[in-house]
Amino acid sequence: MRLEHDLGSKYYEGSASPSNLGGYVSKSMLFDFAKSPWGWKHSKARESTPAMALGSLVHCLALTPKKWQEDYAISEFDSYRTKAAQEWRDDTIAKGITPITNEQYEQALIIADSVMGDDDLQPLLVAGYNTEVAMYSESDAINVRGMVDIAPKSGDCLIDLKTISSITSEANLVNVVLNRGYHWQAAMYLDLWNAITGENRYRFILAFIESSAPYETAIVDISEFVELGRDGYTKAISLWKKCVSEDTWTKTISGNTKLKLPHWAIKQ
Amino acid sequence: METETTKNEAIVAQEPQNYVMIKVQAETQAFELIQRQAMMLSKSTLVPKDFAGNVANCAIALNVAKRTRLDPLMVCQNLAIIHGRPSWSATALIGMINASGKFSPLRFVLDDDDNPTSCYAVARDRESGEELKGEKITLDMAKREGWSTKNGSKWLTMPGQMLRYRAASFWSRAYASDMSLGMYTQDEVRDFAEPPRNVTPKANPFIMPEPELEPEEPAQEPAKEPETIEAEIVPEKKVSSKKAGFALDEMIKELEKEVNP
Repeated sequence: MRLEHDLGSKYYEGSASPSNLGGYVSKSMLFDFAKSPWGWKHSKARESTPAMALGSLVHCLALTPKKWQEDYAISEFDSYRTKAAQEWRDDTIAKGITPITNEQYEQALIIADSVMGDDDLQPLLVAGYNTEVAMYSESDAINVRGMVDIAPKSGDCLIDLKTISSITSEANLVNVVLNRGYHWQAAMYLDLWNAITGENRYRFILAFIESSAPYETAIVDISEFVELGRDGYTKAISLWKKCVSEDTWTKTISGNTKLKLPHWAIKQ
Repeated sequence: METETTKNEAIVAQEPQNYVMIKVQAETQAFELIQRQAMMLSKSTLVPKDFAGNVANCAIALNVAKRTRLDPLMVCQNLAIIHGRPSWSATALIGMINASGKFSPLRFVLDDDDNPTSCYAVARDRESGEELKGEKITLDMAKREGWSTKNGSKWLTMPGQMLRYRAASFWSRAYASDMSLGMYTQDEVRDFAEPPRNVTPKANPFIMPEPELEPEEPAQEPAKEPETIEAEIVPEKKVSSKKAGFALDEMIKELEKEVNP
């Protein structure tokens, strides 16, 4: 069990994948896997979407602002139509650096500043904080890891940043949390942190920020979801262990299943 | 005379015992009867799914029917198990109040007939003539209490009806709680109650439970020599149960006679 700081993109090395079943399992991997072990085993690596790329850039600028140039480079070209622009882009990618436009950089910088300067988030950070803290441990002989975005140096919480297309209502955020498995993340991260540090943190804060202007924020506490999340991720770890040891990958719906006619359909 | 007194005393002494036996017998008979009735009801194709094939639920429905003096089938039709709680339909509750004879028919006062935002129920006590006004229910209250923000909430699609139903159930709890037997209406249970969930917290899976340590053996004190008490040895005497006042055999025989005369 250990904590590590300043890993950057190295953190992502050695993840469990369909071709590396002995790697570290993480919350997002487990959440995908648990939906359909068979689907996960036969899936290809997920390609980064523009929304994901913006989210990563915002994370980088908000949490490790001094190091953003290690992972990103601003293009001097308006587009990648010219040969020179294409060469620069390919060369940059080959170095493991993500090319971004100046416009993307400025947008991400505004988003990062908005969320880190949020009046509701600031009180949690007054005692100082560490960012991007990687946590490693094992559960049931399975290697597990997670990276907490913000760990205040004292207090009872851990904080994670989330970019979102729009914040419409509390009910909408509840759906987002449950559909994206943020409650699994909350439970797993708190459990990892407490096991490694011996502390007893119990609050998990999500700092939501909209990805489009005027970049509204919402700081929400999802501690009430932790027990449900723990139930979910521990079951997923058990399922993972079973699937890997037996090399059987269950489908979402196994066997010859008889569907039941729902009550609402009979009424129609 | 002396013999007569002793006889009477014996009768008086036996009376509580007889009473208990009779009560037990009557309760057993009543239980068997309700069980048979429940069995029959559970086999009916007219009862809703919560009661069909479920003798225990039917027995509860029969009990409720007895207490509320309603027809058992009506109870089955209007008592539903929501999130594990038996609850009335709001219409049945209003019907029970109106049919009770204790009050004038329940009336609903809305602030606006076309687009109501608040409602209270009112009825007159037939005996005293007093007007009994219920709690005012508002859409704002429904929102603040989280009734109208639940998925598929009828508060959004039929607010007028929900206001009336909720006003009726609040009224019944204030003035006629004996009729509802303290049960909520189905809409209320849906609005108030959370589905049951497991509240036993799971342990942090990353913390290995500490191995149970074997209890340390207490440091042994040097064995003390037992103190010697000199006592007179008294020969054991057999004590008869009768003499000791424990005429248990007789009591059992008496009871057997009572049960099987």
